[in-house]
Amino acid sequence: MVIRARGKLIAALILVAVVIGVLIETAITRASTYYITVPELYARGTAALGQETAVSGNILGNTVRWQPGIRRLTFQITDDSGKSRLAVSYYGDKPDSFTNDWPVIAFGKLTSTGQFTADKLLIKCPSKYTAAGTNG
Amino acid sequence: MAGTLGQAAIRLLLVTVCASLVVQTQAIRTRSAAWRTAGRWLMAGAFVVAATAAGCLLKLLLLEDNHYLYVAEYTGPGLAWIYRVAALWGGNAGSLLFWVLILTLYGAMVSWSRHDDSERMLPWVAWILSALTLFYAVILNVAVAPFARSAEPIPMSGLNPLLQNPGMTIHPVNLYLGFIGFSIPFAYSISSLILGKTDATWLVVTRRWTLASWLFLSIGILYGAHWSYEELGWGGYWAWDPVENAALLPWLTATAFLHSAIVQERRHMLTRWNHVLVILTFWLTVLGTYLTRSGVIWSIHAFTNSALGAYFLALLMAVGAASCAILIWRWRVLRGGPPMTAVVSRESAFVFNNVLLVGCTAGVLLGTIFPLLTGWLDGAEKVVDNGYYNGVILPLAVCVLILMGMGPLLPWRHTTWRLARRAVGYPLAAAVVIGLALALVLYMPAGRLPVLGTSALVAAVFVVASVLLEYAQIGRLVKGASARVTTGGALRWMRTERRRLGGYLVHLAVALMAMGIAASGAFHVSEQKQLAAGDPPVRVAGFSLRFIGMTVDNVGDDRRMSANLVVEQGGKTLGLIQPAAVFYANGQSPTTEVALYSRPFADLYVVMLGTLNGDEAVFDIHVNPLVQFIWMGGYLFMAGTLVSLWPERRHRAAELPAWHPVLRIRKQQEDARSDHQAGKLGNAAYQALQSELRYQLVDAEAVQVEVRERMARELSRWFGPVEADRLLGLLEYGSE
Repeated sequence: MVIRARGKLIAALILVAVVIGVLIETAITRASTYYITVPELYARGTAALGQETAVSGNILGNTVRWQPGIRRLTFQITDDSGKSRLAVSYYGDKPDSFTNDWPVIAFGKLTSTGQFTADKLLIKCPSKYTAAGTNG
Repeated sequence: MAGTLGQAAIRLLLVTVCASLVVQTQAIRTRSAAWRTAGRWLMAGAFVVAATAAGCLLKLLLLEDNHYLYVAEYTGPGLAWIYRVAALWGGNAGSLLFWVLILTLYGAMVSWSRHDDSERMLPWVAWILSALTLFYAVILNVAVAPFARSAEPIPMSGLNPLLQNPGMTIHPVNLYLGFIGFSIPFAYSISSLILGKTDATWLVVTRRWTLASWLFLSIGILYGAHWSYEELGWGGYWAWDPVENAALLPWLTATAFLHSAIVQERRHMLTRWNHVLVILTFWLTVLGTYLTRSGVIWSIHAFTNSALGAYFLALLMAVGAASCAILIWRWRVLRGGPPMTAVVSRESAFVFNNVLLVGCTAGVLLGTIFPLLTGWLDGAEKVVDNGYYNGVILPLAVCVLILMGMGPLLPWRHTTWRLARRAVGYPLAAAVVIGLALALVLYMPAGRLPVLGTSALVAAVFVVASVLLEYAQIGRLVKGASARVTTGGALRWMRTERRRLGGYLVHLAVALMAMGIAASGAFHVSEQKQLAAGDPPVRVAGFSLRFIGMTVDNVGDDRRMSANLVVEQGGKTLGLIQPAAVFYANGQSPTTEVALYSRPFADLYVVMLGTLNGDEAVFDIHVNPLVQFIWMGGYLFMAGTLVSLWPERRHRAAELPAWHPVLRIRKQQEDARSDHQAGKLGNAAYQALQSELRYQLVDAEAVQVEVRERMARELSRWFGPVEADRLLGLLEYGSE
């Protein structure tokens, strides 16, 4: 009787583990995106068009335009070398600390006009650990 | 002066810790009391040295001596003293010094404690803690320089206004206290593995450490969530950011451990699993530190990209490899205890809860390191977004809640399906009715009825029902007892079952928090409105908001622009709220101040997105139902954990079952009796169980008598019969 109970228990545990595995697997296929820099995005060429991507870069402060009336935020980001730029448009709230050279990740798609339409932005919170000279 | 002294203290720390390692090794090798005493003093000495270094840095920060790089980086002219104190752990070098301070404090506390078999265990524990301290001491001496000084004053950076919040003091300190605290159970677990101890001494000794560290970590996480909720742009109370996940991971495994430890204590089961969980918890704290300090993963929290990553990676691998080796070496020694006898029982509920919590851990861990993994495997980095975490963790959390409700309703050992259905069925049915009613109330303003949110509400109500039933049963037992024994008996009973009472309070708190998270996550209402002063009021989820104009005022050198909104509900004016934007004189980018109007059942959360044409403004208006339940649940959570933690005058009495077979069997008899009285255990099963336990008790008592006689013989040979009697009295645990 003990053996049977133990067997059942192990079977139930395996079932739970499998369900968790399937849950993770499904969620990953549904909610994972490529994580690349601006030059890497351009290097992908037309393959990048319309594909869910997360692009990281630094904000170019003089390109930031915020239209609160329609909640539209447009700006350009660039990589560390500053050579390639990407124009991003985002509908939503303008995050605080949206300043020049601040790192940002934009989640969204590259459209055929060459503009990146973001549906989510991740902004670093103010530094606790940065080197001297930065603001904060 | 303070700088020189601090620097000297950091060098001396390295020497002290090395000396401690040598002395602990000697204490282990020779088993001599003199070496043990020396080892204890060295552990205390390490703390004094670390405290001196930290004190020096604190003094420099308070004096704002900007010849020191660290002071210049993390303080600014006119910064309030509280934030100058907080700068001690605000920066990289300082936080490492603070880490050493806490670790050596814990180490000193442990090495001056006394418990069963402490003479054998403590040198090992102290050795492991010294080795860990050595790691940080090396970093402080080699990789970072908290006391780096320049001949000329360095221009000061100041602290970002977003961080000038009391959260800066409470949140990180609690996280550190929790994170570092898990080193102690780890050290005990490894020590008892090395010594080949199969009993649960380490578990009894470290229960309080684990619980306290878990409490600190919980407070840290909750406070961080609260702070984040009140700051715009930090993504509400939880964003599944890698740094948040780094704190959540050890919390999940520690929660699992706190539950499986009960099973080992009561039933002597899951002995191996408990070691695995404690080691995993500690390893995850190291992983979290590595992730947050190495810059390998992008986070909204600022990271350093310093060379520290390599150090923490080395520690991570060393801890992982050494722990695995020791576990494999001792695997056979750790007997499994009695097998599980049923699929449905209290202990199997604990096991399933453990599997789910570890499943959550795996899910969060995978999501957090997904960019690293895909980078290594594929060459192309991929990230997961919130959809991943919500898709994996939320369903599992609902299952955890259901098990939280079921566990206390099931008896130990085994039950029949019929009894289990009866025990669980009624409260579950009640929970479905009340949970659905609650969801319908929330549905009215939100206009949607999501399956996950609704089932989370039902599950949370189920937990509440289960806790209330357990309290009712405790009440009945106390009443039954007091009919014969008076209130003194009731009080005594409450004292002995205090841990259980506290544990159920925590369950209640978690249920409240789950309701808050489910309601605010799934049933919130949000609307964006562009308003001119004097426009007709806007209605959002029962609240009505009227924009009456802007105010501009000066705060020091900075300018604050606030919108004035009158809030009304049901024709009654509730008050004025002022979402604002602050413009800084130093050219820093403006920040937004959220206007929050909290009521017990819903928060009105208004953000001013921007202004137009001088007198118009755009508002983002949210109504978040039951958010207050999260914070209220948090306070209850702390209270419940404190009830469990509170020191007892005769605390050994309550914890004894774990290490004395006779007492364990008596405790099991008591459990069976109360399970039977509560109707969780049928008559036949109860009789069978009691007779089985009677036989076990007779055996265990026979062993006890034999051991006692042998001890009496040995002791009287050495000390004479009178002294032997006294000593035996001191050693006696089992007899009454």
